[in-house]
Amino acid sequence: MEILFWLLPIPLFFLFGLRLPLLTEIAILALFALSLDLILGYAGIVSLGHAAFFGLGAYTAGLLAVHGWGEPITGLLAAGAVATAAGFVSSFLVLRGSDLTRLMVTLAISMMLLEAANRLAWLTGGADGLYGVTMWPIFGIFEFDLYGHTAYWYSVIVLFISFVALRAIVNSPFGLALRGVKGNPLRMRAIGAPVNRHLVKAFTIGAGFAGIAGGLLAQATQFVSLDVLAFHRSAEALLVLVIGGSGAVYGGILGAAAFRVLQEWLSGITPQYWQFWLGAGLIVLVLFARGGLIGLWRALVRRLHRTRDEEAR
Amino acid sequence: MSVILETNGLSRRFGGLRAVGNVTFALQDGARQALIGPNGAGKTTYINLLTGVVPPSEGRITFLGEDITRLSPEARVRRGIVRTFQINQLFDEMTPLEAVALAVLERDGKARAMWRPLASHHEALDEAAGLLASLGLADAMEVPTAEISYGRRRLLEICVALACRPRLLLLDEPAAGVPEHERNDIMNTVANLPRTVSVLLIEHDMDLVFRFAERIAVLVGGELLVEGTPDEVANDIRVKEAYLGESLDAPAA
Amino acid sequence: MCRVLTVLLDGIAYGMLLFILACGLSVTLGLMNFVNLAHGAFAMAGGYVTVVLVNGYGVPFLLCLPIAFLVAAAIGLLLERTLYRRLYGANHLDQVLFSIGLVFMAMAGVDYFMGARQQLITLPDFLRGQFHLAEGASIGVYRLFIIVICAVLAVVLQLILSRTRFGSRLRAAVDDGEVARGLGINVGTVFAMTFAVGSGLAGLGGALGIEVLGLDPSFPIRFMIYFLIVVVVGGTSSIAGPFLASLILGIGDVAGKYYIPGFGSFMIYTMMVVILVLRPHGLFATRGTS
Ligand SMILES: Nc1ncnc2c1ncn2[C@@H]1O[C@H](COP(=O)(O)OP(=O)(O)O)[C@@H](O)[C@H]1O
Ligand SMILES: [Mg+2]
Repeated sequence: MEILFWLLPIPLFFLFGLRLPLLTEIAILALFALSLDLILGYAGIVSLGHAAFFGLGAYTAGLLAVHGWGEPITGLLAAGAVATAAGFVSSFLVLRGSDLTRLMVTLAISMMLLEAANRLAWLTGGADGLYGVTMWPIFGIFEFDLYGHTAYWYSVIVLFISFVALRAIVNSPFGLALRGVKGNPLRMRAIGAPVNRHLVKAFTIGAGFAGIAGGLLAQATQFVSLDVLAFHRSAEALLVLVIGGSGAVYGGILGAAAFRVLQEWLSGITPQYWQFWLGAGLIVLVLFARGGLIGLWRALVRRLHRTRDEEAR
Repeated sequence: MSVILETNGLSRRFGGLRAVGNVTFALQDGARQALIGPNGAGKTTYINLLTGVVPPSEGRITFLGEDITRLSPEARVRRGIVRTFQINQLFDEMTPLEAVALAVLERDGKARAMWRPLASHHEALDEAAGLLASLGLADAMEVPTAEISYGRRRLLEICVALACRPRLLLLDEPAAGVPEHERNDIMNTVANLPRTVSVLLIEHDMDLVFRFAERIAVLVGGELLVEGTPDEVANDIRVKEAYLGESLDAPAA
Repeated sequence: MCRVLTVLLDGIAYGMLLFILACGLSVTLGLMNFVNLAHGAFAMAGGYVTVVLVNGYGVPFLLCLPIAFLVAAAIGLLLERTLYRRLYGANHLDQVLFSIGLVFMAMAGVDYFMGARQQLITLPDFLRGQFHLAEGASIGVYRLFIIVICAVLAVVLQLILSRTRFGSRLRAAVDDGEVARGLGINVGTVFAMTFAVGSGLAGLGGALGIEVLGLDPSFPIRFMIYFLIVVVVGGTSSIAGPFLASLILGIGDVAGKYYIPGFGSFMIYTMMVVILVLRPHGLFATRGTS
């Protein structure tokens, strides 16, 4: 099942050869959502400003390439490293308060960065965006081509590697501890768990992967705009998790695919009003299908098992 | 016998209310001590003070000769002060096996491990399974916590605490609300604890208290009224007054 | 010196307006523990109602203000009874997502019917012009009007809360919903009424603010952070907290944009982060932290 899932990019490549940029975007959005899922779905830290780290990663990778270092892999690692450092520092601000304070502080941090990127136009290109991002071939072999073939495979592979790493984390004792912190922090303290240290780590790691996602976007599209730091980008990641299901590693990927495909389709019918249906869908999901696609899938599997059990009897 | 825990003039005020007032008290190593008192007497607050969830307004706490008054809750757990809660505090989204394994892993400092899957931490899982089995929870190990009966969830509450390897176990009304037929399981579990674990038991069921305790402390209005053997306490006129006629007689031996 | 006075008065007007806009949010948060990011959408509704009435039907501006209040309150009441109440027990994340959903729908809806452009209205003559204070300092008549209206409203709100039966019920319900229920107070009705009034006030604020804050479909998101700051910094246990927070925010924002233009909004965010980090439970929180 899982192997089949990860082989999907191959037929998709041949079926949708002309829509590759869309598929690339889905992979990047999925990675961004996965990074938020660690923070939100597993550790239970609500964030309205996850784009801060995405944006930092994007500008890091973009600026490196603009200023003469177009090597993709190290650029991506640098993007991740900068975002990780920023995540670590800001985690101490974010983790102090209640849910509401966390929402506010994360939102404020991303707004501050957006404002800063806007002001530092000499560095970031400001509202015009950062042009001149030129990438070297990956491993010196694979050129980023006009059709986006390389960008596609590059993004899919980075997504896969990150996915494997993130899944290892959530399936480890540390992942269990995060579920504990989310489920009952009072009890976690009573068993002597360093609750805050767990949360700092989760936030830092999540920020790092968001940075990689941002770096990936900068490299794949060879462009960075202020948009990478905007509120709607943070909201998008939340939506993806609501659609796909949070606290479940495949949720982010399914959600990202559903989200972008719906977006293409709806804005194809009524260009501006995709937002309207997005809002409506969000309300319906929150009220009636809180588990998202993954939740529906699990309910289905459970029902199948039950009927099979009954037949066996 | 040596003293394991001592509080000196321990007080806690909430606004104008003195929930715990000037409690000076010593617990012997290996003690089987009960702490009783009417509702609102400050028993739970006293435990919150001992575990560091609530800072004291005044006073000092000494554990194994060390002043722990300012120590963080986590550090106290690491020194062996572990509690259960009056209202179940469990992980509803985990199985009992996961919950107990988590406590084991945290105790051993292995809950930071990120790369090996949980399933490969055999020592922790085996220890958790053994602990659950020893409390008669073997068949509930993989059942979602929310689906277990209330009485057995009270047992799980104790099991999670035991996984931390307590030196001093603070039990906050472990049998409260548990139906008659499941009460014995809980009391037997507590009675069978090794003497290396000192126990401070809060309980309203006097049967259980007198069956278990070797010494009883009575808290009224936040203050320590009496401390002594069950006989002394049962015959103390002030205790009888505080309980306003509720029977405190020791069951016929 | 006169500059300082002008900036100060502008800031006060701005802050007062923020207070009227945000006080409903602070009550819903304190009372229902509901994080309503869509609060700005009610303000936007009030603003657009006014624009349509003034520009489309020539209704006098002053008459539009109560209408904006009533329309926003009615929408608030309707949504509270049908949707919001279902999420009172839910976690903050669900509430956030739900209200973001509402914001998106509101923004798209307004965009559809009114277009994305900035809306303008013509104020009546007597609200235009400058009012000259001593030493050559001046303030726009309209800003003075805002200050007066909002000050009156703040006093009225304070009186309602402290003097009326409804106010005491509301405070009882905020302090402890269970106890209030035990006293026979119909908490559901108190919630609905409060939500409606809070939305209405936002609508009124939206109408008053067209001239000062600007009005376009992005209004709910643009001002979301301001409302949240007022609530989080001011706390939810009194009227005075959000009121002071609004004033500080208003004056800080105007002064910041005036004196250090490059860092105007930067300063607001910094201020908020610093306050939240130092006082995670608000600047004026009176309750203990445990
Ligand atoms: N966090 C708190 N804030 C305010 N008052 C509290 C708090 N915790 C306990 N109290 C008060 O302290 C008193 C003692 O409570 P508690 O320790 O729970 O009593 P017991 O466990 O003996 O029934 C009660 O009046 C209770 O209302
Ligand atoms: Mg108690």
